[in-house]
Amino acid sequence: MKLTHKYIFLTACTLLGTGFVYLLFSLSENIVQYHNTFIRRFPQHLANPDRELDLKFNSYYFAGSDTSKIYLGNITAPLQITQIDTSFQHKQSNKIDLKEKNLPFQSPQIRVQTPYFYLFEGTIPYVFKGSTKDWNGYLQWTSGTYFSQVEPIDSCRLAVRFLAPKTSENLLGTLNLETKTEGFGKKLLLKQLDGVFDTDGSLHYNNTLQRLVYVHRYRNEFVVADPNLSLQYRGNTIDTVSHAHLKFSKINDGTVKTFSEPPLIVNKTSTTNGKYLFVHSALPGQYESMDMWKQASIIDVYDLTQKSYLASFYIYHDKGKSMRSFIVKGHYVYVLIGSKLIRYKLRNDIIKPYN
Amino acid sequence: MKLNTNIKKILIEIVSLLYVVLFIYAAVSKLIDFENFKVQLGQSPLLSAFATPVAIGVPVLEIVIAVMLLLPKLKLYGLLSGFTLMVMFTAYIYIILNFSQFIPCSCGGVLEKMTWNQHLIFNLSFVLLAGLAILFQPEKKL
Repeated sequence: MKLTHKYIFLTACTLLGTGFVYLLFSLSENIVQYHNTFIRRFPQHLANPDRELDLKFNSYYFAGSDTSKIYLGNITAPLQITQIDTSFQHKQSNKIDLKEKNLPFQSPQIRVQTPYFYLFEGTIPYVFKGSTKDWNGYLQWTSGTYFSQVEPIDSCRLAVRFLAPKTSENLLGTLNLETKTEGFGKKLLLKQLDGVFDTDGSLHYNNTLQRLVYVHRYRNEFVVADPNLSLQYRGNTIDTVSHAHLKFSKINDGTVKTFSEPPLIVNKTSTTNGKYLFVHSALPGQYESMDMWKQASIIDVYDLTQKSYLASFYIYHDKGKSMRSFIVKGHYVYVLIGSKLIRYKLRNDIIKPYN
Repeated sequence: MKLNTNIKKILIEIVSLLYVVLFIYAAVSKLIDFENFKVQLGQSPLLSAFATPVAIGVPVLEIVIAVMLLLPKLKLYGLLSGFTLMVMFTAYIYIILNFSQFIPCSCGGVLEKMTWNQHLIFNLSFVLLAGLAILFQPEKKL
């Protein structure tokens, strides 16, 4: 081989080699972010445990948050609202005073969107509203369609999941407490089997983007809609379960419907903040260590504006107990595990903080 | 090229041996802990989607190239392939350092004590060595 030929060969090999790796890189990026075949990414230290607080009881749930506080409701003391500042220094409990006491109260829940709070029970149904300054609740809604989940949109509108009359299928919608009207988004949830179990999921309202987000429990889909209930898009979580796997049986002479085999859960709990959607997944992906699944809950992060998968992180079990629910606010993830509230700090070069 | 042909020959032999040792060691350490290697590649920001084919392809190529380098007839091709593979590793590191969303922990195996930048320099030296060895090969008909 002549010397000039060698130079040409070396240059060609350099260019081809570099080009090939670059091609692999861009193809892989595209696949992972937009056409993911269930490969998770765990950037180092994306979320690190940072503080914890013992609440003494395991009956707390997240009622809301603002820039300085986390609000917790308590299922065994339904009128109690607990405020904890975001650095866990001060804790204060208040009792909500309802101005209408003649209702068949069973298990009311609270949501806080400062400066207002809402106390509701969808199976009666009723909604109280009041100010977080004095925690006095005034009855705003006492009739209409049953509902099962509520998230405040603004000072008069609530995003809800209705139980459609007659069919009892799940139906996304809104309550307007000022005009006393219900809004229905009839085409938002698509029935795959019975429309009751298979459309189960969790409802969120994203303040930054002003969007309702509904994450399906048994299929790899989330629905994004505007406050007027028109569909923006259907996104997919990175697993491959596009169709709900559920089998039912009727018991008690056909009056009660139940699962005849354990359902395949895809997405457990979820939350949204800023432009992100955070999903606690139930399914391990490719190339993952099974040991981690025994020690931690896996949270997948999606970018709702890019419709892409971003990364995943771990929320470690605490004394064998796994995470019950979580919210994200600013730089932090707040997690309820057992009787503890634990704070994780997020790496802000990957996940930008939003309040 | 005024260097004495003997020195050239010795340099070619040394470079080839270095490559053989490096590739065999790298391939064996990958294959011994294959599952772990695959998981690490799956976590690589660059090749996640192709982790399985790459995890099999890279050690196989490394062994094939090492064998080529040991056979006098195939030495030149071995050097060229080794050079190309090393260029690819270097490009990989360069892309990770400059284009990737995040930088993974380490590549594991042989050289996990090195930082990414040290790794880049290490690879570049190997690329240069192979380049020199190819240029020093005596001219002959292919």
